[in-house]
Amino acid sequence: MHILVIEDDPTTGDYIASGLRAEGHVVDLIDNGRDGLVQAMTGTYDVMVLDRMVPDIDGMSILRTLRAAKNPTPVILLTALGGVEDRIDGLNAGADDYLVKPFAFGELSARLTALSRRPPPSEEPTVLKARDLEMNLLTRKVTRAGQAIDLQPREFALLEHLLRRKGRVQTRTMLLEGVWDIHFDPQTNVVESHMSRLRTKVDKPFDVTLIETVRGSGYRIAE
Amino acid sequence: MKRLRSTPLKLSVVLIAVFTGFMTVGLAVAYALMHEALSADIELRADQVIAELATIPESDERLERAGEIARAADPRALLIRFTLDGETVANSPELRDGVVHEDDVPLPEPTIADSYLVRHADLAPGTLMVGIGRDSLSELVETFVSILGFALLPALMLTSAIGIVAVRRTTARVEAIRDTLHRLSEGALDARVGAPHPDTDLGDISRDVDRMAEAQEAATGALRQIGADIAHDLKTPIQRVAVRLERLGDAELPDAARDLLEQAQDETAQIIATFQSLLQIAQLEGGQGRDGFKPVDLGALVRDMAEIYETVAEDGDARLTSAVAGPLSVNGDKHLLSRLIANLLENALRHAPGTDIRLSLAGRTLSVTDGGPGIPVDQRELVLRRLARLEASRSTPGSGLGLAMVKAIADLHGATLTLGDAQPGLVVTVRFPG
Repeated sequence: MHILVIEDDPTTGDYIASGLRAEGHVVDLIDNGRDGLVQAMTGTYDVMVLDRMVPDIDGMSILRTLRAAKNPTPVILLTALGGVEDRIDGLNAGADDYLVKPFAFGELSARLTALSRRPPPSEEPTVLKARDLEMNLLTRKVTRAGQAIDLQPREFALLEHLLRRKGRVQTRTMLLEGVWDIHFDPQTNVVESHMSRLRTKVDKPFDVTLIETVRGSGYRIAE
Repeated sequence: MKRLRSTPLKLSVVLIAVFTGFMTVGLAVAYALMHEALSADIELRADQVIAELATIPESDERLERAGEIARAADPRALLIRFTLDGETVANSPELRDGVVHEDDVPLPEPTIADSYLVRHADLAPGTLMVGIGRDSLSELVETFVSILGFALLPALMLTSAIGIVAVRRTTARVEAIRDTLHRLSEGALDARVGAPHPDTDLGDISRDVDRMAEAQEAATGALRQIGADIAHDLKTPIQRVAVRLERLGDAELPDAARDLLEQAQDETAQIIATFQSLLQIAQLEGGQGRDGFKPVDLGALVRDMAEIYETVAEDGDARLTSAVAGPLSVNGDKHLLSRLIANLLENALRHAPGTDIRLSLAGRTLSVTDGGPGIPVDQRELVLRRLARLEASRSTPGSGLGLAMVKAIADLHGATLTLGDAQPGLVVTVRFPG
C-alpha cells in the first residue's frame, strides 16, 4: 500500500514509518501541515495517517479540505486528545478511524489494514468458512468438521467478526468496538474472557487451532 | 405558581391594595361627615318651621301663616299639615313620624322627593306635621358614586396597568438572568443575559452576570488549552517510551529482561489509562459531550453490559445477576452510560471479589450491589473524588478514578449518585431525572 503519514514528532513518525515499511508498505512521512496538505491533495494514496496537532495547518483542517475536495482516501486520525467530543468531531470531519496516543504499532497496523480492505457491501455471503469450520449466517448454525457447535449470541458475534476479517489481525480495542460497541478501555479482561469461552468450543476439541493469538497485537483467524 | 413568587408582582399587588384601602377609608369618612352635616341641617329646618309657627300667639294668625307656608312650599323640599279646631291647611296627607319614603306619600310622583324626614309637633292649640325633603342626602350618595366612578376606578386601573408593565419587564429580566445562570451551571459557558442592560438594579445584576460568565468562559478556555497542551506535551514522551519499549521487545532478550520489559509495558499502559481518565473527567466536568445527547434505551444497555461482564465475573469466581424492570429511555450518551455501568461493575469485581454482584434497573434507578466489605459512611464522599483510594484498597489494582468517572458521567446526565450500605457490601445507586 502507498501510505501518507503526517506526524510532527520525529520519534513517533519514524516509528510509524519504519514499522509500516517493514510490513512492505511505501510510506511518505511529512512533519508539517502545509507540506502535508499539498502532498495529500496531489498524491495518490491508499490510506492516510494524520496527526491532529501538527504545525502550520492542523490535521482536522487538512482532513476537512480533503473531504471538501471530494477526496475519499481513508484517513485515520492520531490524537493526543481523547475526549468524548474530540472523537465525534474527528469522525464528523470525515475521519474513518480515530486512534488516541499513545498507541501500539500493532493497533495502528491492524486498523490501517481494516480501512484499506473494506469489503464491498454488494457481495454479502450467507456462509462464512475457515478451514473445516462453517458458519451459516441465515440459520445461525456453526459446524466444525461436521460437528455442530452451540454458541451463545455474543460468542457467535465474536466468531463472525473474526471470520469476516479472515487473515487480518483484530486488536483488543477493535473487537471491543466492533463486537460489544465499547469505546473505552475496560480495566478487566472482557475480551480475553469471552475469547477463552469461544476457543473452548471452537478450538479445544479439535487438533488444529483456528483462532490465533498475535503476540502484543490481538487475534486472527488464518486465511 | 412561579409567577406568584415574583417580587415585583407581590409589591404591585400590595401597593394597589394599600392605595385602594386608603382611598376607600378617606371617601367613607368624608361621606359619613357630610351625611351627618346634611342630616343635622334637615332636622334644623324642621325645627325652624315648628319654632316659627309656635311663636305666633293668635290661633287664627297661626292657621293663616301655616296656610301661607303650605301654599308657597315646594312639596319636594317641604310638606306641611296644620290642624286647628277641626280646620286643616296642608300640601300633604297625614304621614307617620320619622323617615318616610316616596311610596308612602300619596302625592303625584314628579312633585315629591325620594324621602322625607317627618316631625309631628303639638303646638296647643293645633297639631303640626312637617316633612323635610331628603333629596340632598340622595344627591350626596350620587356625588360619592360619581367620585368613585370618575376618580378611584381610573386611578386603580392606571396603577394596575403600570404595575403589570413593571412586573412584565422585571419578570422578563429576572427570567433571563435565571435562565442564563441555569445554562451556565449546566456547562453552556457561552450563555449570556445579553445587552441592553437598563440603568436599574436588575440591569446592573445582568451586566455583572454577563461579565462573570465571560470571565468564566475565558478561564475555562485557558484551562482547556492548558489541558490540551499538557496532554500533547506529556503524551508525546509517553508515546516515545511506549515506542522504545516495543522496539526493545523485537530484540533477542534473556527471559529476565523480557519479564522486566513486560512489567514496564504494563506500567506504561497504566499511566496512559490514568492520564486518559483524568483528561476525560476534566472534560466531562466541563460539560463536554452533552451536545451529542440522544435517547438511550437504558434497559437494553443494562442487559448488554450484564452479558458482557457475566463471563468476567465467572472467571473471577463471582456471580453477576441482573434484573431489568421494563424499558427506560434516558437522554444521554450511550458510550458514556455504558462506561458508567462498566466502571461500577469493575469496581464491584475488584473490591468484592468472589461475591454476588447484582446489577438492576428499577424505575429510573440503576443500582449495583456487591457482597464485599462496603465503604464506611464517613469515607463515602471521599471515594468520589479523583484519585481518592481508601487505605484498605491501596494494595488492589485500579487507578482510583473509576468512581470519580462514574460521578462525572452521572452529573453530566443530571443523575444523582448515592453510595449506600447493602449489609453487607456496597450498593451504588444512580437515579436518573424524570
